[in-house]
Amino acid sequence: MADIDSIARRPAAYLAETGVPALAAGLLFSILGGSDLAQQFLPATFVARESPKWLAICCCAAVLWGAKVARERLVFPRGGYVELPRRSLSAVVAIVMFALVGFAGVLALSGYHLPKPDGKLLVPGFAVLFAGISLASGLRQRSSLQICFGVYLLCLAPLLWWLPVSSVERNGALEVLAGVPLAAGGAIRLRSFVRANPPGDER
Amino acid sequence: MNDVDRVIHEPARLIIMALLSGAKEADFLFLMRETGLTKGNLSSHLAKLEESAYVDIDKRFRGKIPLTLVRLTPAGRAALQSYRKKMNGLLRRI
Repeated sequence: MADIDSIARRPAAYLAETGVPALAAGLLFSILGGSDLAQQFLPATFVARESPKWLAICCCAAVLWGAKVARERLVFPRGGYVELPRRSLSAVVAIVMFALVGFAGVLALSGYHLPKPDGKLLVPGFAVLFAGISLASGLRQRSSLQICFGVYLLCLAPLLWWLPVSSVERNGALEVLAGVPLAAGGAIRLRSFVRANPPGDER
Repeated sequence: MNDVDRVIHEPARLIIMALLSGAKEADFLFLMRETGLTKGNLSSHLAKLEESAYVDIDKRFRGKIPLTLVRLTPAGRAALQSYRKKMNGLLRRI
């Protein structure tokens, strides 16, 4: 009997194989990180501080629009159109999120300020967390690319901890160093997908 | 074994149903690419699934290119679930 579960996962895997999600995510990370870094190096005037933020927001919107166009013009005419079902939040996740938001609201109203976490450990911690997610997902889907990306992020964590910079710069460095290879991998995947699949005459 | 749904039990149709169960909708090209079936074969299997009201087929044009969108109906989803349960039960008994 055919493995129904693995066949049912094919639509999601197909969209990931095209490289568009990785390319878009990588570009978004790089833009946000680049904006963080630019703000640190620009002079401390209002315009110099604010303009990278607004430029980053415009660039992110352009990336999202570009990803939609790439799917419609490059991917769907070649490999076929598929739309994934919208996943509704499970009751448990919704309750936990509601409780967290409520807790944050109570804290904000009471005027209590949470102690600021140490950025020197927080950013490498995020790198390790993302590495864990990438490794787990790569092992589940048997994707060597995701496993390599997870290992790369694991190697990045001590480097980020060691860098003698501020928390914002460390955060920007993580986003750029994670985003650039992700976007490059996505672009390579998309290029090979486009080359391997000529557009069909019927959909 | 007699109460197994023969419409879904055919391997090509089972793959089509399984693919559609993981998507909201998919077009003809995607199904052809993933199943490895020819146009004629896929069309006849889709016609049988539509006859049994397991899939909903929407034919339209995007520009000059014909676009065939296929989605699983609630009846089709229920039939696939029931088929899975029956087959799992049968396999456990062997």
